Amino acid sequence: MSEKKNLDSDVFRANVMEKYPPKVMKKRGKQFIVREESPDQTIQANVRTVPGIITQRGCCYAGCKGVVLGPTRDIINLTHGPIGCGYYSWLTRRNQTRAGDSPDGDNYMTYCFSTDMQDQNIVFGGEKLLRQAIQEAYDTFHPKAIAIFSTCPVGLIGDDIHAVAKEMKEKFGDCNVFGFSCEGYKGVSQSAGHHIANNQIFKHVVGTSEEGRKGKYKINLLGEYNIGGDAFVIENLLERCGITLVATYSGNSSIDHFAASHTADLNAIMCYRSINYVAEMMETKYGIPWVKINFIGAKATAKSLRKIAEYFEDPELMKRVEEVIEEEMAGVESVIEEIRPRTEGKTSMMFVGGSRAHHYQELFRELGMTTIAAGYEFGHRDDYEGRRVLPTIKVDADSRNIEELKVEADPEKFNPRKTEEQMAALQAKGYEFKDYEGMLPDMEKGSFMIDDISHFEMEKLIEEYRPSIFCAGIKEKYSVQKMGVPMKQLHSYDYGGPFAGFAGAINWYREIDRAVNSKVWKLIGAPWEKSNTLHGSFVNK
Amino acid sequence: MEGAVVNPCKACAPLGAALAMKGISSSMSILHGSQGCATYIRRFFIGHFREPVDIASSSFDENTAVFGGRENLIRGISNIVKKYAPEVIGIATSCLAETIGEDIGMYMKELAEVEGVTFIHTDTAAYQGTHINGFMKMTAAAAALAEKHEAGDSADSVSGRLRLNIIPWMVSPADIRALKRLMSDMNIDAVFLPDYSLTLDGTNWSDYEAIPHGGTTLDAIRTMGRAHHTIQFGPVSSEAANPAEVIKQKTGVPYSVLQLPLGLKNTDAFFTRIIELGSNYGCEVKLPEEQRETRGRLLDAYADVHKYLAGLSAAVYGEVDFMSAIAGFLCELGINPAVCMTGEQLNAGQIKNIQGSIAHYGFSSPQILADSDFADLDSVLGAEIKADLLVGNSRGFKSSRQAGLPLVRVGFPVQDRFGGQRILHLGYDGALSLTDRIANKIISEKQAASPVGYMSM
Repeated sequence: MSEKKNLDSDVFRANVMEKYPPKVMKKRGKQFIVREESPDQTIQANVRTVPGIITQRGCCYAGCKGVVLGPTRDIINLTHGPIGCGYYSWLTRRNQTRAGDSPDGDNYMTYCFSTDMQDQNIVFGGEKLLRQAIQEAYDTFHPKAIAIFSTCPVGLIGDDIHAVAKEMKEKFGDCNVFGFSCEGYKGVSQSAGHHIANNQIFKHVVGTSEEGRKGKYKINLLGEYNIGGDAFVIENLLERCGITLVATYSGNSSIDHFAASHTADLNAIMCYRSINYVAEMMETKYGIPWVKINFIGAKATAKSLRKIAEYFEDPELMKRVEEVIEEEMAGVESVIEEIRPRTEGKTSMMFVGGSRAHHYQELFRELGMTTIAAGYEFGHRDDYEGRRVLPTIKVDADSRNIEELKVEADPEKFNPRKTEEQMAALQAKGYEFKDYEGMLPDMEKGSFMIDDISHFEMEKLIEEYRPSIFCAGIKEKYSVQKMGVPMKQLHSYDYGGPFAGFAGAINWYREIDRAVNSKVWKLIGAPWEKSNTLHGSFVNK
Repeated sequence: MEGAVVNPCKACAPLGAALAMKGISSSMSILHGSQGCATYIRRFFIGHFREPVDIASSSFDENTAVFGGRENLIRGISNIVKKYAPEVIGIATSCLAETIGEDIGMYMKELAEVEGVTFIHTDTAAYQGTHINGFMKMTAAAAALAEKHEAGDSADSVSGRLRLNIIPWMVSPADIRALKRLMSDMNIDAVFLPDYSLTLDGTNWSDYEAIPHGGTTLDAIRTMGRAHHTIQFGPVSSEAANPAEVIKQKTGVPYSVLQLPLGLKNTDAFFTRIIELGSNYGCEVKLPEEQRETRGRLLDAYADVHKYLAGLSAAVYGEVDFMSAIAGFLCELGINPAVCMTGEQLNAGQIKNIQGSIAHYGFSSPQILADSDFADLDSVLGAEIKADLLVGNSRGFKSSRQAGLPLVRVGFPVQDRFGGQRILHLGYDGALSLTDRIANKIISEKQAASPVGYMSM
């Protein structure tokens, strides 16, 4: 390792920006900021990626089908389009599910369904093919629901997937069929797809059943996708606290859970970016308040459990929650004590998701590590700066094209879970509803916040600052490792995990210890390259 | 098949095009369409090769989808040039670009003015063909850069050495490395197109490489016109797009299309053809002693394993050319390739050829499932066909689990095991290592199921 002192953050930023053509520089400059002390810094986010820059981002279809609907086991997800999109999104996000939890045991997550459009379908239209495919899926599996996802060409040739869905739903009578116009070119990233998924699930599924799980303290967990079994850990914690989980959007979920999710009394949001729309709409239509929680990090988990308990204002629940926290924290603290001397003072960089790059900073802090650069792949300004900036966000053409549902209070089912007075009393005690402060307050002065980081910027950051660990996805993994820096995937967890809750935190500490203290990097360079007396070299044949 | 494809056995054409580009030195790919296509394909490759794979995108938005993507493409390319300074940029199209009728050929005229960059382009609408078509089309587009050889230039002075072009099909980096070494051992000057043996199976880096080193250089591609002959693997893939034919048209170099040299007979045929070519062109080509020995070891191994494998039946799947080569090789092991499944469309003649080549080994006609998917495979495995193992890429895992049959992972993709990029399939060496893997898979299943357990055989 070189002994040189790292560049001042502003100088580094200027050096990177200088490499861009002027127009690109102007745009990237607003998305690449150095954290100052001011609490009111702004960052540009949720804007189009510059063509030709290697981006981490995927498309609208990926966000809609892969992220939000993908983890739901008993909906047949049918891709309407040429084969690639369905094939590439086949069982890739490693969401886990326990099909046995449903009475019917249906699990279609391991399947890939596609209409595999051919040229004649592009020329003459694909509705007939779509109808056949839906019929075939119905005949073969008799699922409770079939969801149709449009890929790019579908929007252009004008197939009306919603009309086909309606027609087939009426024809079947016992199968909910609905479509998502989530063509890849819509919006600026996966985020558009999340919004479309939220809308359609809300329109077609939520509130269609009253057969929800019963219990004294009923909540929905929103934005937890059960990567690596995270949702299992959280389910277990909630159960031990006596809290009933009506629905999780959408890890380890069933469409039946969504259908009855309006019977819960609180919506607790994990991944704010991907699912806040459903929470907002449920509050308006059914009167369910929402709060932001985070089960990544032991302290954050304890805080989140307390936040849920406080909402119900029941001393018995609060006592139970404290007992669970106490039981769990003992184990957590002994592992931290063992590991922290080896991780203290190390640094991390994180570029992932719409929440993870923020949430996982908790876990690093618990190990005494500092996050010196972070950013989202598909976040919006409120994910960085908090919801206080919502009124000032300019709606651009890309966002305007994503439908905003007009939601009103349901004449029969609207039932405010707390009176205005009760809400006010809680708030007076410092309880925050519908609040998310974003990543910004947690970033230290001089650190970097970078939205939609490009491959080039990533290389430069690593080269200059040599973080102890870099977190992103598989697309970045091997570039980072080739530069001799350990890399942790925060999309699939490198098939490790779970990392949520207390048990997950312990897994994380151990894994990060292994990664940042790995000896493998010391093997780089053969002995004869390091020795002054031993001479040898490889020859090219 | 009427409507839905359930658990497909094919990817789309742009993926193949991007793979071919990875085999050209100092190159970058741009996929003209929505950015999701590039992202999906990158992560798909990276899962198999475990190497960085950069593919740019022209990042279409709703306006682009309506008014056309010229502006985005030009901007994208200028950004690539500024950041990566590649010598070659390959442009492939997504189904979105093709649906709105983007004319890349027209844009290419403007791009011709970008200094120091050579552009290669092919249309890869995902609603036509599969990934292997995209691969062959982009390879053909690159092959079009071959230049006609003028008699009397310097290449002629290296007399006595056979000069070949090898179009190796979509084989593994390990396969390309093995073939290259073979050529070198046989004193043959060979240009491989493409050659991603280093770019997609590289080493650690002492300095960051924006574009990983390796691949066929532009100069080497230009000299393909000097070769005596082109050898291209994959007869079925070659029918839809034929790089060797492009070279012939451009430069007059004749060509042979061979089966993938996978298994003993196919490898014999490959060597036979090379030796014939040597004598046709008056160049001395000798089969290296080491190859003779490996061939002998392979036969030894066939004899050793036949007690465990003969009489078994297998289901094989994948790209037609790969699948049929694997089927032939299984026949050599005494395993009946009872069902052969591919996502590609085949005509009656092509099906007959595959059946014929298998019948040649003495097995009754296998069931060929063309334009099929894993659900089709599942249904025949559940009904008329009794198989003992599956041989193919990792996408068959679900079928293997459902049928309770072992899966031997070969081909592309192998994303649920390490070393997919290093699987050696070709030549006697490749056959030998596949033989061991298949036999050990079967034996380990038996051993695990044995109530007593044993530690020797």
